[in-house]
Amino acid sequence: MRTYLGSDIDAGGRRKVFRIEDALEVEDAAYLRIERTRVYFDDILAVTQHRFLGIGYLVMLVLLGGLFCLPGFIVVAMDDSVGGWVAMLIMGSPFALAFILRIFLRVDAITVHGRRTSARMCYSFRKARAREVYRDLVLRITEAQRKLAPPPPAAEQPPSPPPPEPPPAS
Amino acid sequence: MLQSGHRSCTSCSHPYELTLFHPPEPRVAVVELAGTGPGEELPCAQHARNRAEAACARCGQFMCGLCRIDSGGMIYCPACFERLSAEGTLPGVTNQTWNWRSLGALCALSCVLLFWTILLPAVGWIAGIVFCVKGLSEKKSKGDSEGIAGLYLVILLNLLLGGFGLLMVTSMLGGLLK
Repeated sequence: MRTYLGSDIDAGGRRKVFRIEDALEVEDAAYLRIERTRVYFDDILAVTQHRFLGIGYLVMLVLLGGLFCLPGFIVVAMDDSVGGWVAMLIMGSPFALAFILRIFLRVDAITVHGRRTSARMCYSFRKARAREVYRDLVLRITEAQRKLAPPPPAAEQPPSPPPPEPPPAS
Repeated sequence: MLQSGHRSCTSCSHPYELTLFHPPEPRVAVVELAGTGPGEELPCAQHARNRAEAACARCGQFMCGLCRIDSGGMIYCPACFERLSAEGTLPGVTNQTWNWRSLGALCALSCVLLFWTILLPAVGWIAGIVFCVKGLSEKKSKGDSEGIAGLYLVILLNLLLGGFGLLMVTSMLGGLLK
C-alpha cells in the first residue's frame, strides 16, 4: 500500500512520489512508459525544503498569454473597438492570474537526497501540506536509520577486585 | 561543514531548510575459508579464500557474502542477476510498466485526427478502452487508487468518440443507400 505525497513537473515530464513502508517510490511517466525508482530511507543523506519562483513557468505564461491575446490585440490595433479590449481581457486574464499567484505564492519544493537517487515534490498552494510532509519524512527517516544503526558498545566493566585472602589456619 | 537547520545557499543566497542524516554504512560479513577438501567448507566460486554461504538459484554457483544478491526472495550471483535484469524477468526489479492512461488517450487522439480513415476510429476507441481497463485492473491488483479518475475519464472520452464515429458511419451508410 502506498501513499501519494506529491509530484514534480518540468520539461522532462511529470514525476509522482509515493511513500511506501521503507522507501519513497518515484514514478516517472515519460510518454507511454512509467519508470519506477526507489529511494530507501536507510540510504537517505539529506532532506531539504526551499521556495522557488520558476522563471521558465513565468516566461511560458507570458508567451501563452501573449499568443491568446493576439487576436484581440489585432482587432484593437485595426479598429480600437471595445470588443478587442474585452477579448484581450477575457483571453489574457487566466494567464495574468496564474502569473500573479506564482509571484506571490511561489512553489515549495521538498527534495530527498539519497546515495544514488533523489526525489522531489513541489507544492504550489498547499504550503501546510509541504510542511507536514517534510516533518513526517524526517521522522520516518530518523526512525528507519535508528533501527539500522549498530548498538552502542557495552560500557567497560571495572576490573573485578581480587578475592579476599583466606584467614590463616589457627 | 554542513549542519541541519535554516541555511543559505552559498551560490544564490536563497534560504532553505536542511536536515542531515548519517545512514549506517552497509557491512557485509565475509567469513574466510578454514580449510578445503572433502568434508571441509566450500569456497566461493569468485573468491577462493571466502567461505560460500549460498548457491545461486539460477546457475547453482556457490557464493560468499560479497557476491550474493538477494532479490524477490531468491539469491542470485552477480552474473545471473545482471542477465535476468537485462531480460526483464526478475520480478523484484521490474521497474517499468506501460502508461495505460496515455495509451488510451493516444487512441482517442488518433480517432479524432484520423477520423477520415473510418477504419482506424472504428477500432481505435475500442483499443483505448481496453488499455484503460488494463490500467484499472493493474491499479486494483496493487491497491493503488491514485490516477483512477483519469483512467475513467479516458474511457468516457473513448466511448464518446466511438459513439460519434458510429453515428457518422451510420449516417454515411444511410446516405449511400438512399
